[in-house]
Parts: sequence; structure tokens; C-alpha cells
Amino acid sequence: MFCCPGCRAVYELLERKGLTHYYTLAHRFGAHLSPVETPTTASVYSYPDTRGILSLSLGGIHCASCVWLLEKLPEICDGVVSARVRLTHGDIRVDYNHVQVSPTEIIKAIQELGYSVLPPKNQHPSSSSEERIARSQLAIAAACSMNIMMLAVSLYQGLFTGIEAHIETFFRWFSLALSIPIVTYSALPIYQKALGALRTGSLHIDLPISIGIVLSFLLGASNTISGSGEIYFDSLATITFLLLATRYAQRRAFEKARRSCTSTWSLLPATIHEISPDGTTKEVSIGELKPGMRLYVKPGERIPCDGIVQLGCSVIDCSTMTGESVTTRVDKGSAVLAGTLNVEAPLQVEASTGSGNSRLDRIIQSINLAMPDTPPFVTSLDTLSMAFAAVTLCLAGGAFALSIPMGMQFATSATIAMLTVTCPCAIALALPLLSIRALSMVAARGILVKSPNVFEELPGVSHAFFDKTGTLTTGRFEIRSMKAFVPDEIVLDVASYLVEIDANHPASHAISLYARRPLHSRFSVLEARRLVGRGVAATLLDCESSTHVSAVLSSITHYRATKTLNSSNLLIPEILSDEASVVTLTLNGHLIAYFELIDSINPSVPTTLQYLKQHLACSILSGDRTETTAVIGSTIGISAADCHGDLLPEEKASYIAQSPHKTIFVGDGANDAPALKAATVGIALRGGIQSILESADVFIAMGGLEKIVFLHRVAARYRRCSRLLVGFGIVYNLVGISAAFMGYVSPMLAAIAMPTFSSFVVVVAYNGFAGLQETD
Amino acid sequence: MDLVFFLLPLSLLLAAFGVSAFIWANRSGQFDDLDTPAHRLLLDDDEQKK
Repeated sequence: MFCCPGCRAVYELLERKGLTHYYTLAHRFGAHLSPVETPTTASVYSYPDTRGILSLSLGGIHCASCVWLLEKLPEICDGVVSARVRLTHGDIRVDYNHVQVSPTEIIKAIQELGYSVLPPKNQHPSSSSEERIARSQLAIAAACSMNIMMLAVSLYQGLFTGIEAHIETFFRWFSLALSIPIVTYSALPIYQKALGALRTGSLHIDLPISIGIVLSFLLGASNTISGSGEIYFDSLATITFLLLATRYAQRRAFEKARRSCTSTWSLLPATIHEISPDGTTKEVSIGELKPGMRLYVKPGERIPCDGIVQLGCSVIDCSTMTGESVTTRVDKGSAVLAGTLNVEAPLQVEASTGSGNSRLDRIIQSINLAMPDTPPFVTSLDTLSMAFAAVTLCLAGGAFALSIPMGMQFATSATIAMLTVTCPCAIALALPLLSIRALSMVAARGILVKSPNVFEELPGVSHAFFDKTGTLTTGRFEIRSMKAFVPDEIVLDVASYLVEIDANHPASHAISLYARRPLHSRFSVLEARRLVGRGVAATLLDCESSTHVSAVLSSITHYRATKTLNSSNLLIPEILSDEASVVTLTLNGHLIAYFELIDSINPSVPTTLQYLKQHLACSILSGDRTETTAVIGSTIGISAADCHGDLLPEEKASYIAQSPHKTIFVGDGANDAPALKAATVGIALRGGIQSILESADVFIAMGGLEKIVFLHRVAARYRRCSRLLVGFGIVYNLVGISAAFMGYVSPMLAAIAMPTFSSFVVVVAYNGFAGLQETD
Repeated sequence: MDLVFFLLPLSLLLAAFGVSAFIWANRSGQFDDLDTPAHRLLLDDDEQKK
């Protein structure tokens, strides 16, 4: 009836509290009892009276049933007043009475329900109170600007049809009153940005806008008092309102995109067990991790930092980092990486990196590069908008100076028009939004992209190179035949040791199914190593003759390469069929056997290549035999001239480097690192997320080759949209500035044109990828 | 036409009422999470409120 003791415990707990109703709602999944710990990573506020508030990030909130269950916390845990879950944020806020119950007890109760407590997410710039203020400012700006516009329309109408003088005065004073909340409250964030930039000695696009708002308000107020001349309240109101509205929408879009980008990355534990010098362990938050700290890692836990094993001997699973599904044995002195899983026995690890500095953290940071508050990409835009602000200020000053002869009134009006008509929105608002949309779109489909530059480069690529084994083919080899030049038992005996060295490799795996070690093996391993991209080698002890022999299991390409090197005249196998890959086994440099392996084509290859061939030329670069490569090539429609076999990893890289065009290389992250680096865009299909840090620009974490089609589509759309936006920006500003310079733009027109244009570009950017489906 | 001197402040009063209602709702956190209530709605049907 229960899948595990955990579910039984939860059932009993729920039954005790009369909440078995949960199971009618949540029959789709079982809740799991996690070990009860006391995280120190919650944020807790206590008031002097009995109220307390506890905020936690939770793992495992999926659906409405979770919300229902968690919000029943007051019935499960005495002293809890209320619990509110936010589904999309994955967090909970618990109001409780801190006399009756402690935060630890509440956390225990939550864990008993089967939810894990995660380290608190980074406080985003828009914490909820900040967002509330932004909403209030926006609401006031909206209400006031609408009313001002209503009055303004009557006043403009009055210019043509005539208006009674006392009503006109009344309307003008009324507009002045309505614009005061806008200038003094709603526009505050704009001033703050401008001043903040000035304080750090730089310019921000909000500076000319702020000057425009303040200047037009002062002039409008003085004209209202004097009873003659333009009032500018309508322009300043609209500009503030639309600017705030656009920024609010953009911020929400960023938040949403960021959540979908980062939610998959909570590999590190929330708390760590520190071993103090006296030998006792205590639990601290991962935020307190420092280099040199000694940590205790239980089996089943992820190692929280990069470090060196000090005590203990265990097996760790590095699959998230390196892509190797085979576990690694570690003991004293072994280096371990953060995020890897300790499988077997407890370990004591000395941390070599502090919190947030491990290799895993760096990889995640490099993936999140284009997030709004992270530098490289955004700063290049900032310089652009800074230059823009400077130009605007100069132009406004110039317009003012030039039009002074035509009267003070006209000069100020021209200056205000100049300040308000210019708009960097295409660059400052729309482009970052576009790139974040693209990143989150591909991330949601399991494609991790290092930087938005990939989207910029990918459509310009004219040549694609593919690795063969495991990329175009499934990599599930089957042995078709074995030819041995010595007795079979010896071959299989030797091979059984060699395949263990790199058991994850497709060829090794196929041979390991075939190679059986006899009960009394003649050999034992002294030393083993991997020849990356070539094969494996080992030094074995031959127990019969008590001599050392060196055995190499390698691709035929490597075998031939060493042959010409040593120029010893040994058997070069006569290959029977072209479609088979050949693996050779040598003992002390003598060929003792070769295996013919058959591989099948990856089912997603035909559709992927059909799409890609419309846009670029495709070639195969393989370490396998030229004949085999050509056979595979002909089955999938790549001509023999474009199939290059017999290449070592470095030769692949130099082949790509020689190409005069922009290139992509698709291959294995671990074995083809040089080629991935050499290509303009390197796409790693396997090899763990580590490959994205070292060599690849794109890592396909879920799925296979077919994801490239989607990536290419997104990139093509990205490039078209970004060109369009920059083009719009240039045209709009050229027209706007020259018109304003010649005095054709009234403040009214400027106030409508600029925000309309900025909302337009933001809408274009936001919908840039609308309708783009994976399966088109 | 002098009616406008009465109507205009009246309309502003109405607007002020709307804005203050929004600000109240905003302060009490009604706009903080726009997704969960949609799910919550589906669940409480057969539960009697305490």
C-alpha cells in the first residue's frame, strides 16, 4: 500500500490530524520523508510580542495539492497562525506564535510533509516591498496623467473653438495640481537612477529625461502663474507614466525568465557539517563555508565544495559534472568537486573554495551571464546608452543655444522637445529583454547557452561539423566479429581489464559485454590510463611469466599512427566490410586482435540534417576509419567528399580552424574539447556541464541532436529581431532629433512619440519568439 | 458652463477613491502573487472554514 516507510509515516501523521483527504487530491505522487535536520538557512523575524514570521524556500512544490497541504500547517503544527505558499516562487511564509512553537519545529513539520528546505534564493532587486512601491508609483502616475490628458484635450480644443478665460485658467491650475504627485512621487525612480549614475561619475539615459521632466514642470508652473504660454504638464505626465509602465513590464518579464533559467540549479545542500578542531561537528549554513574548513559529508549527500579528502574512503558519482555515469573511488588526498554525490561511506573533506566559488558555482554563473545584474553583456549596452545620454544632452544644449535668438520661450520649448523625443529604448530596454527571452526559452528545453553571443553568431555559421560516434550514431555498438592472432582466452582476458578503464565509452561498453574474464586470470593491472579520444592503455603483470606487458585498446586510426611512428612491420588488419568500426588490441606493440563494431544511426539525424542543410554545409569529422565514416555519410546524405575519417582529436580541431567560414562543431564534451573550442560555436551533446566551462558554448543537457534545430531557429529569430530593433532605434532617433532640432516637434508630440516608441520596441522584443515551437 | 467647477473636483474625487483602493490592495499584498490563488480556488470547495 505504501511505496516507502516515509509515505506510511506521512499517512499516519495526516491521519492523526484528520487530513487523509490529502490522498484524494495527491494520488499522483507520494510524499517522501527526508531526514529531519535543522536548517539555519531560513529567514526569521520575531516581533517583541508573540508574533513571528518565517520565510523558507521549499523544494518539491509542484501543484495545487502541495499548496493545499502546506497551507494546512496551522492544523498540523500548534502555534502556527497561518501559512501562505507562493507556487511560482516555490516559497512559503509562516506566521506563528513564537511562544508556542519554534522555527525548528515548524521546519521539522514541513520536512515531515515531504518537502525539502532549500537555501534561500538570492534576494532579487525586486523584493516584494520594492515592487509594491513601484506599483503605487505607477498607479498614481496613471491616474494623474489620464486626468491631465483629459484636461489637455479640452485646452487644445479650446485653441480652435475658443474657451472662456476663467475656465482655461481653472484647467491650467488643475493640471498643475495633478502633476505635482507625478513630479514629486512617481518620477522618483527616474531621478534616483540619474543621480545614482552621476554619483559614480557616469551618465545614464534617465539624466536627460529627469532634466526634461523638472524643466518642463518649472516652466509650466511659471506659465500657469503668469497666465500665458505653454504648460507642459501633459507631456511630462505621459512620459513618466509610459516610462514607468514599460520598465515595470520589463522587470516582470526579467523575473519570469530568470526564474525559469535558475530553478533547475539547486544541486548544493542547504547546510553543511563543519568539524571543529575539537572533533565535534556542527551544522552551519552553506553561506558560511570558507576555504580550509573541514567538513563531514554523509553518504547520500552532495559534496558542498571543491576540496581534498582528508579522511575516509568512498565512491562518488560525478555524473552531473563530467557526464561519466561510472562512479569514482576516492580516498585520502583525492580531489573532489562540489555538486558530486558521495555514494558509499562518510568522508571528511577540507574545503579549498569558499561559498559561491566552487567550480559548479562558476559554471552556473557563466550560464547566467546575461542576467540583468550580471556584468559583461549588459555593460556593453550601458556604454552605448551612456553615449546616447551624452549626445542627447549636447544636442539639447546646442538646440537651446541656437534658438535663443528666437526667444527664450521658443528655446526652452525646443530643448524640452529634444530631451523628451530621443529614446534609447531599443538598446537599453528591448535588447536585454530579447536575449533573456531567448536564453530562458532554450533553457526550458534543456539547452544551456553560455552567452547570448551564441545567438548572434549561430545564424552566420555556414559550415557544420559533426562528430560521428555518439553524435550522428547512437553509440550503442555491437560486436560483429573478432579476429584474434593469439588464443581467444588471452585476448578476452586482456580486454576485460582494458574496458574497465573507460567503461562509459561506447566501444568499451560493447567489448565488455563480449570479453569475459576467466576465473583464474593470468593478468593483474599495475597501471591504467586513458588516451583521450584515442583509446585506453594499461600496464599489466603477466602472472605466468612475471613480466610487465603494456596493453593498448585503441581505434584503428591511433593504431596506424603509432605504426608509422615505430615503423615496425606488423599486421595491419585487412578490413572486411566498410561499415564496421574497428578497434585494435595490442600487447607490447604487437597486434593481437581486432574487433569489428557496428553502430546504428541516431533516429533524430535525418530530420535534423534535412533542416540544417537548408542553411549550412554539413561535414563529418571522425576518429573512425574513412571508409566507415563514408558509409555513415552516404546513409544520411552527406557526400563522401565531406566525410573525413582517421582524424585524431587535434586534427579535428586544426581542420575546423582552417575553415575560412564561421563553423559549428557538434560532439562529445569530454573527448572533443579541442574541436569544440576551435569552432565558432561548440555544441556539446554529452560530457556533463563541466564541458560548458571548458570548451563548449552550448551544452545540450536533455535530448539530443534534434535540439540543434530549435536552437538554430531561436538564434535566427533573435538575430532578425535584434537587427530590427536597432534599425528602428536609429531611424526613429534620426527623424526625431532632426525634427526637434528644426523646431517641428511640439512638447506634446514628443511626449506621445517617445513612450509610444519605447512600448512598441518592448512589445516587439517580448513577442520576438512568439509561436516558435520545438516541433515545427 | 460653471457646472464644470463642481464636476471636475467630483471626478477627481472619484479617481482618488479608485487610486486609494488600489493602493490599499497593493499594500495588503494582493498583487504579490498572481498565480497561486488560481490554484487555491480549486481546492477549498468542500472544506468548511474554521
